[in-house]
Amino acid sequence: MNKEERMEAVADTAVHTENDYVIELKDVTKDYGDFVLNKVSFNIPRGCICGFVGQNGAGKTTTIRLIMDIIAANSGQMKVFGKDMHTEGKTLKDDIGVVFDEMGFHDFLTGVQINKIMSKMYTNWSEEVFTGYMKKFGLPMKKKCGKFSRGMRMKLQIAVAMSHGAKLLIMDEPTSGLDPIVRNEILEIFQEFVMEEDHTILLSSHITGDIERIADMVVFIDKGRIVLSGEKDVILENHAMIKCSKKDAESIAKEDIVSVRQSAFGVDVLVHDKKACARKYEKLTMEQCTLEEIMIHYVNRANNESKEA
Amino acid sequence: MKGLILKDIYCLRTRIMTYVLTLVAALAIGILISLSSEYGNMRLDVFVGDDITVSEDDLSAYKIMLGGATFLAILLPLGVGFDGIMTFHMDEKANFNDVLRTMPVKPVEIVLARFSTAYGFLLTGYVSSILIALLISPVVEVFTLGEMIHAGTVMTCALAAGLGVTCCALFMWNKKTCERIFIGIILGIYAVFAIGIIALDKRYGDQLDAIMNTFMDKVKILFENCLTWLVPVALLMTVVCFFVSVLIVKRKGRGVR
Repeated sequence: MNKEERMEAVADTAVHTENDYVIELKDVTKDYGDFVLNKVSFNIPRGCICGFVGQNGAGKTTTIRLIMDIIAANSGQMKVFGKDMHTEGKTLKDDIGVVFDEMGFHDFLTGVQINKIMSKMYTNWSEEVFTGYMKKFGLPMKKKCGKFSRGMRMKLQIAVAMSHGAKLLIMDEPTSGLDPIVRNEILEIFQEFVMEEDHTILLSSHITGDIERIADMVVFIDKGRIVLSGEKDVILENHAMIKCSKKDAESIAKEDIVSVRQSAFGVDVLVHDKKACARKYEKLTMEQCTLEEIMIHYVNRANNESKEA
Repeated sequence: MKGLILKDIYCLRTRIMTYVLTLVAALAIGILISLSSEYGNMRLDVFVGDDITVSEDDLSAYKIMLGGATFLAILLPLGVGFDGIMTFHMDEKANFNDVLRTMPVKPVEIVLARFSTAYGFLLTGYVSSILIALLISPVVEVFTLGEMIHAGTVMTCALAAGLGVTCCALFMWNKKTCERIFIGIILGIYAVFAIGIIALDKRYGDQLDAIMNTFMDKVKILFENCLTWLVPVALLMTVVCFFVSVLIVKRKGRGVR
């Protein structure tokens, strides 16, 4: 499935049936006392790359742990491939590859040993695919993984995640702390992975540039709440930045504004309906904004709301 | 499950040198006992010869010294056999538990793999202990081979029961918390023992020695005849701990960020 086809599939969310969703979360709540993941709801359609964006501590890892049934939710419903992970975890986990930001293999293990262990863990483990990825990523099979660099460790995790015929990859900050070249390589690997029709990726990251580059849909999370979710191109198309004076900003209706931020030359106003605003405020100049700017403004709005509350 | 056992074997392979060194140390103790007996006039027939008068206390000290050394030679491999639980700490250190929970493995398989490794390693320790006993029995006079094997078996049963409880604790808490609990228990036992001795001394005074001797005799009899009930108790505890561990693993993670 190429990028255009994936985009069409994602855009067509209105006609998605339940079976088309790889991950479904409805009002999922997890209360830790000092942190609450509050009624998180989103669906990820089959065959897309979903960017799960939020600042550190926003609740991305907690959500991933809930999806994988590593921790239990206080309330809400969760389905993976239309099934309950808690009751059918063993079967479902055979089709899921997970990559954490920290490598979970013992430092003394080599690629050869990891291959032997994993071949006994996963039903569809392919030694051929694993060694192929190791070769492709330039990872020596006989070197202890404790001696690998951070980039190599991440690639090793990805090789393991993709060598057992997984249809869903869940990545928790796979590109954080990596240099741009390795990051680029890893993003290309993800793009190759979703070329297969039924392959899906949930990519959690606070690096919005990566998400903007490869994601088809985006879910923004902040302080345990989903603040925005939808098709990436639609989000980028609908939002716009108005750079104007404070006086001009006051003329913009409150319902059109996401948030207002003071800048060196005036104020930056993020609006969520570019077309409508262009008609309403003809004199003001609108600029295309990035996912990072959108994220910052939504976080800013959430902060202001909580201050007011 | 096979994958987990294989991973544990790779983990324990990194500790193979510790194991070998311990066996060497145990053998060295056995050889030293032999040398001290042969060249240090420590043979029982020489030490308690016809022309030498030995007091009860000296004979007791002799038996404690050589008996203790022999006991240590048998216990060392068993102690290392308990080392199988180190895989818990290794997994914790490597963040492997998070990865494990994303793999198609049932909680019962996780526990079964752990118990297989831990008890397998303890069994290796027991076999090594018997081998050491066989090797040193010709030169040790304080204990017979049968007594040494009996001591090793009793200790193995006690360790097996303890291993089950330790596995439960390590499934429940991390290594640091378990260590704190363990130290707390040991200190508690010492405290109870010390308080008991002081209380007995105050109450019985001069009779304390006689009471302690009677107590030690009873312990000795208990030790000699304990296998009939210790083996079933150890087995029962292992089975109970196994199922408790499965329950812990099933519920683990709830409420933890």
